[in-house]
Amino acid sequence: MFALLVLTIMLFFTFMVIPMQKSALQTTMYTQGVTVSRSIIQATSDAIISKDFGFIVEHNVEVLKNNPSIRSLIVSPSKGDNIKVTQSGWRLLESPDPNLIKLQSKEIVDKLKVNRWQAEGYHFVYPILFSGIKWGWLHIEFSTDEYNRYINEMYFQLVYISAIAMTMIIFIGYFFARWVTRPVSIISNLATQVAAGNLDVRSKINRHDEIGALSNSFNKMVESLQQSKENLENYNQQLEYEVKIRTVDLDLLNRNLDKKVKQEVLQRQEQERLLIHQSRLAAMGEMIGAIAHQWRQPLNALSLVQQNIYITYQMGKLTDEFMSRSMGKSERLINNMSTTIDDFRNFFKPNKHAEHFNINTLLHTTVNLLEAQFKNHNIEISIHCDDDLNIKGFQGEFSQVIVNLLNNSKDILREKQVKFPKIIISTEITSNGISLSVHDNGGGIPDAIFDKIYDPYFTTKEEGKGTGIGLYMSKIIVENNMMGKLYHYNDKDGVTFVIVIPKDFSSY
Amino acid sequence: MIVKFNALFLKQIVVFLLILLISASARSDSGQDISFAYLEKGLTELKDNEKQIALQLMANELTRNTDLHISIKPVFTFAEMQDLIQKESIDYAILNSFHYLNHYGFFQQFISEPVWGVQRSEFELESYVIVAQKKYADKAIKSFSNKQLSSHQPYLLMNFYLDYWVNKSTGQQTQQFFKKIKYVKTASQAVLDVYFKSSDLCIVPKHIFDLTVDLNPAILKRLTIIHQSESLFSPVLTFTFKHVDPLIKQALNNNFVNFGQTPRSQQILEMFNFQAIKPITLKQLTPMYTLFKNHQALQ
Repeated sequence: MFALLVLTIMLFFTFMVIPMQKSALQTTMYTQGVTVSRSIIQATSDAIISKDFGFIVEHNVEVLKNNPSIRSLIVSPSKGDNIKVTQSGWRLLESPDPNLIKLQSKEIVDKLKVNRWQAEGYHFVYPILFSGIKWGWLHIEFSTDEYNRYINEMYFQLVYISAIAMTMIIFIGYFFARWVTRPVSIISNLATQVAAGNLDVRSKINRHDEIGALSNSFNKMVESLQQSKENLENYNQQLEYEVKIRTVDLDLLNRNLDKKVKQEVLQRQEQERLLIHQSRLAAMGEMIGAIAHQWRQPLNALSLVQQNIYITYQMGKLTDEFMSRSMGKSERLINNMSTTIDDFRNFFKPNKHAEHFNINTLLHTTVNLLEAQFKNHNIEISIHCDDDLNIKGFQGEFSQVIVNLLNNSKDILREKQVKFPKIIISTEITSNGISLSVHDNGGGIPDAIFDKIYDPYFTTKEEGKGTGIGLYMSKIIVENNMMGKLYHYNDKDGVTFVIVIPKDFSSY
Repeated sequence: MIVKFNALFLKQIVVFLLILLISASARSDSGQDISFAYLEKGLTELKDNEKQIALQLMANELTRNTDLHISIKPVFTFAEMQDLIQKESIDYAILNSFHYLNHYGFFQQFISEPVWGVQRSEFELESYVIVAQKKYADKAIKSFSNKQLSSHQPYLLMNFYLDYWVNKSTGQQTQQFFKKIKYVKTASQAVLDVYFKSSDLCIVPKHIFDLTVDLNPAILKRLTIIHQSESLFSPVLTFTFKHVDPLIKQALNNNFVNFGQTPRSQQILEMFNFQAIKPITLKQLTPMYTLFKNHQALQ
């Protein structure tokens, strides 16, 4: 870019200077013409006046001999022959070329004849006057070889200087660029070596400029890296030592880990087993309470039957028919109680294999077992379930989930002393399977404990009344054993627990 | 042949050779000194201020490849020259031949062969011509009585011949025979005078007339040679004196013979308008001296 600028300046300089030089050279030739003309006229004035043409010719021949730049010279008197002297001789002319006659005037006239590229000649016409009287003219034809040579030399010199300037600029530019880039390249190479891990290299560039500053910074950086590397190596050694210690520890830990895991698994299994057992016991306790409620009425009725028999006997009115009727009534009551026992037994009978069971039947059986207890607290239970919904799973575990949910609702309805306590059990077929909802109007679960109710041993009941494992186990049963989902949400008057049984575990 | 003479070029050469001369002079301090004398009024081809330098250049060239050193001594009168010769104060002398003829006896005592003569034309010895306008062709010399003649005065030998020719042909002295003798600045101008009818006739060396015709062949339409001398004349002679050491003489003779063979010596010859320097025996000069004696006898 800089080289182009210089070239442009040179060309502009050439464009400006060459015409000036041409003009200066023409002025020089003009001056030379004046000088030569005056010299000739002064030297030959006597000869001109005395018409000593021999002297005029001889002098002019001598002038031409001594001035190779003069091609020809014409002494052109107003009257008479013209004498033309050239480098090769002289001759008389009757009259000069008509074109030259046109140049003859009272003033000095000069004309540079130029063809396309070169000057062909410079014609100078000097009027010869003696005491103001015109005698004639002196025509001098100068060679323009010198003129052309100067111009050509000037062109050559300009080209030469331009070439030299360009070359110098290129060279200087190259060396300057090299001077600038070489240290950068050296530092780059050193940086590459550093990147390859050789931190022993140092830049030896010692300059008082940005490159020098870069070199110093590079050296400081490498020293810093070397220091860091040494620190890292020390740290690494220390780390390796610690790792070895840790490895030994880990080895030791690994060796014990299996054992510990197995122990933990066993503990966990044991804990779960205990939880299940606890939950079953809790459920059984609940159910025993329910059975107790269930049996209370038939036992009273059976007691009344016995009292009636006894009173009738004391009154002497005991008849066969009365006995038969009383025994029949007692038997029905006992059978009814026995059925309750069977139901209870069946309810808690452990299932060894998953089997299909009807949800509606299971719900009614469960509610029947609990019905006396719930009626005792005026809790209304309503079931809205299709008859043909079946689930594949462990019926006892699923019943335990329903019992847990119903008992929790009962407890909260009692605690809140809801005026018209009610529980609604409903089922629904969804795209995911069967959805079973247990809704109560107990006011819902407070936000503070909303997400904690499935945590094991979390309970809001008074000590001794709740174990905190009911909902935990219910979630385990539904989500782990039946691959379903148990969740809950508060609605306008209470809470609704939803059990979703996937299609794979349901049929309808 | 036209000898073109470029003053500027000459000056450049002179300055250049002067530097060489000074350095050569410094080098030859330890060599033998030889003295060359010349008559200061002679050598009219050169300007006064250039004569000494030009001759020193010539001398320098003559001592090339020798340990000789030539000092150029300008002499202002022939009497002084004679005195120097008699005292053997000079080893060589450059003189117009007319002086040799005029003091023939004197020179015979001191000079030795060869004599070195300058050649200004293609011939070793020159001839002179009387040129007149064509209308005088076949006219007897008497028809030029009371006419004007142009001549170049420094050509002593030529003017001696003119005297001889006029005296022999007319029995009159030149000054009496012609109405006027116009001495012009150059020999060729004498021809031009006749051409332009400023003079009726002229005497010039034959080669000068030829040169003038070369410059303008139209001259022959107007002019004609009405008389030509025999080729007897050697205008400038360089004499070696007898006292000069033969070894020195031999060394210089070799360089005289080869003068003009080198570009530098050629330039020096051109400076003097000489074509060559040739050895001439005294015997070759005898016809010229005989003519001189005859002329003297006619007086």
